[in-house]
Amino acid sequence: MKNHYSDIELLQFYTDNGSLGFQRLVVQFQERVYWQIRRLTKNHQDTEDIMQNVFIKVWKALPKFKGDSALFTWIYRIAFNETHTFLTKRNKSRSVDLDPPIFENKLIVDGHSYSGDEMEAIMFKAIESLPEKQQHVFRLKYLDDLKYREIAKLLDMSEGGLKANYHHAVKKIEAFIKEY
Amino acid sequence: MSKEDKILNELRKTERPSVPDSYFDNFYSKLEFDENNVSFIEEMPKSKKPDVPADFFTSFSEDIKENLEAPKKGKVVSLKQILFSVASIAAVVSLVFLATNLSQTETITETEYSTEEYLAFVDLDESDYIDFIVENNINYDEEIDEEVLYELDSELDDYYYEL
Repeated sequence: MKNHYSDIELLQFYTDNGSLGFQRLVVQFQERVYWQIRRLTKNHQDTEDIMQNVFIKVWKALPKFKGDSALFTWIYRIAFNETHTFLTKRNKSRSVDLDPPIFENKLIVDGHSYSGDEMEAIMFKAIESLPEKQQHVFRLKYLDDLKYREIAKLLDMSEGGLKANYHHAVKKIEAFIKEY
Repeated sequence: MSKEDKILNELRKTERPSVPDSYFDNFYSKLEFDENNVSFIEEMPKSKKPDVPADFFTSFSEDIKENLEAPKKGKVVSLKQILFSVASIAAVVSLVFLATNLSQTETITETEYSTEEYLAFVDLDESDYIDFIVENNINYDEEIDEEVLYELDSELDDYYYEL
């Protein structure tokens, strides 16, 4: 089996055989979606629960998918909404082991010292201030360490366009952090 | 030449605004897309990615497929009984209506509402019930016991209060 299918191929598989086509779609996007969610939930158990809900919603909504955006972008939106709904409802007093922050401690930026948690919070705010496309590119390149070639397939964009988007995102995030 | 073309040709354009000398000659080099051009955020040390249980990604797609294929535990109810339950609600509404009017007027007029009238009164139609049945995966070809019927009644109320 191929490692990666285009959106058109995946949708064709789904049209030909709903269940099998959907399984291929899940296999293709599960890992990317997983890490987008886990960065917010900071634990596996919650991420797994949300993943189930996300892909069940994807399954129900797939017949209505119009192809206005890349499949990943569309699934990501569902995942993002589902995660935020979940986090709003999550019992804050519940004790779970949370993942460490994305960054190591004692970061010095522009003469200011930040803990890993502080920098992560600033970084997430900075990312949310970007246009949607730049957010996707930045998350996948910077946080997930994907190669431009992989991101291009995922977002159905040219590598040149990705580099330009990433470059602009980095500049804006740098400015955001410095001004924070 | 059409009339529109003639109008366009007669419009006199101003000169294009100027661009600094050699702007386009150096444009590409200024874009700084070079991956070797490292920004400070790319130098910030990241923590190790958290662990994921072994085989999670191998089994996830199978798990979700099984979840989707497993038949949902739906309630079983006959369509006749749904209509009976609607009529019951209609009877309750009638009683409440009568009780309210009894205390306000001297003349008592007994009013009975048929199911259709009740549906009209509460602004519901058959499609609303079909929506309810579909959304709740109720199989209305088979019979149910009284307990489920009672539960359905209260759920119908909740369902339409939320609309």
